[in-house]
Amino acid sequence: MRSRTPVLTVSITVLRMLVIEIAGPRNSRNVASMYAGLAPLRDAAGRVDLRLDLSNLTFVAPCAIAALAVALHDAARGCDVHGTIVQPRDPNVKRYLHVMDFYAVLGMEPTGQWSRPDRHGYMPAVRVSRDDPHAVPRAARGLTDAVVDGCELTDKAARTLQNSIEELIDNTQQHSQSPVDAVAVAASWRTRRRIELAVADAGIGIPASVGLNPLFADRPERHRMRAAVERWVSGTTDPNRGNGLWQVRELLQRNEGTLVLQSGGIRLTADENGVNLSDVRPILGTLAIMQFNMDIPVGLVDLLAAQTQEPVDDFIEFDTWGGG
Amino acid sequence: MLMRAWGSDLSGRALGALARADLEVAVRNAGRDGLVNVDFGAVHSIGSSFADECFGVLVRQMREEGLRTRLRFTAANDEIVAVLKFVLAQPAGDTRATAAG
Repeated sequence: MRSRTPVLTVSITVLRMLVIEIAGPRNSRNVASMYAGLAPLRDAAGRVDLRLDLSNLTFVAPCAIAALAVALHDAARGCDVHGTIVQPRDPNVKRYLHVMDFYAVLGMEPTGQWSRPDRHGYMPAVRVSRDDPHAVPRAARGLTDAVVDGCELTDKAARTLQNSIEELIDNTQQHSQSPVDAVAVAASWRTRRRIELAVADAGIGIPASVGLNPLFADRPERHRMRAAVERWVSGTTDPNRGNGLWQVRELLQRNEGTLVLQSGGIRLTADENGVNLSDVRPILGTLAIMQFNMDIPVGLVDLLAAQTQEPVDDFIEFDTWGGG
Repeated sequence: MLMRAWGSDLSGRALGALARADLEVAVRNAGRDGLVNVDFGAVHSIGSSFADECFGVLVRQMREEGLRTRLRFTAANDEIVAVLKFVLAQPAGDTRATAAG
């Protein structure tokens, strides 16, 4: 008689809200508390039947989709996961998860019949390959196009949004050392004129990344986290690096938006009132959230022009203006 | 050098590093004092990370050879010009980041 390989069965039930503290009540069942449910996957080597029960779900935050997807991919690295999702009973939540490409980004099939509804005004979740050099522009353009389609953004606002998405995604590809692909998710609320983008990875976190720079190696984690959004600060020894997060923070702060960066248990929040750090329940890797004001008065060109003090026209030849 | 070969939206350091390899070939082919033509026709946008990785890094590497004054950008829209100016205005070799504060 042949021996059978044991199949591990993991069942996770999500109660009511799929959120993280940033997007929901402090005491809500959140993604951070679901990490414990994923723990058996981390030690599994063979086949795992994973059942994700969302039947009671009534609210989903976009950033929680990104965080959950990355946590799931990271936990399942060493095993062969066969996942099924029990879909939400609430038809609006069920539709929303389809629109957001929730199932595709998790790599799991929902039970029962479904058809893809129109996604006007929403953007899908996307996995950003760690190894594909074209992944950053492709993801950023795709997400931006979807927002522009639904929200009547000006060209200036759309370009500023696209550039900020590029920088956040590029940061994960360049610095996170995430063992799994990052996941980017975005949603828009036309009536509130707001856009939210979240990028999650399972990497070493911002303080550890900045600590690779010898200038910051012996600094406390909170200091490194705070420094990461300043210009010329990066996890490399190249003094010309470190513009990405600075640029995103500046653009959001000048346009009544908000940047939230959370690595482990440290959260940085930057808005028009300044930059604040707080201690929160730890999450895996890094979660970056950008809440954008659609009516953007300060664009990328304005920001960069204000920082370009050297008269470069003296030594660089630009032949054709307004083309492209 | 035709930048559209890398796409209509140029962003990310990984893609910028690939484009820089092409730029190095173009610089070599132009000779010691020759102008290097960089054509942005059909390119919609460029990110500062891409621009720094492609142009900024090479300009800093070839500071002695004066590459910065030999680049000639054509068909770039206003935003691309702003990003290029921002990146190429950064002087090389400064140690700006400090751990103080």
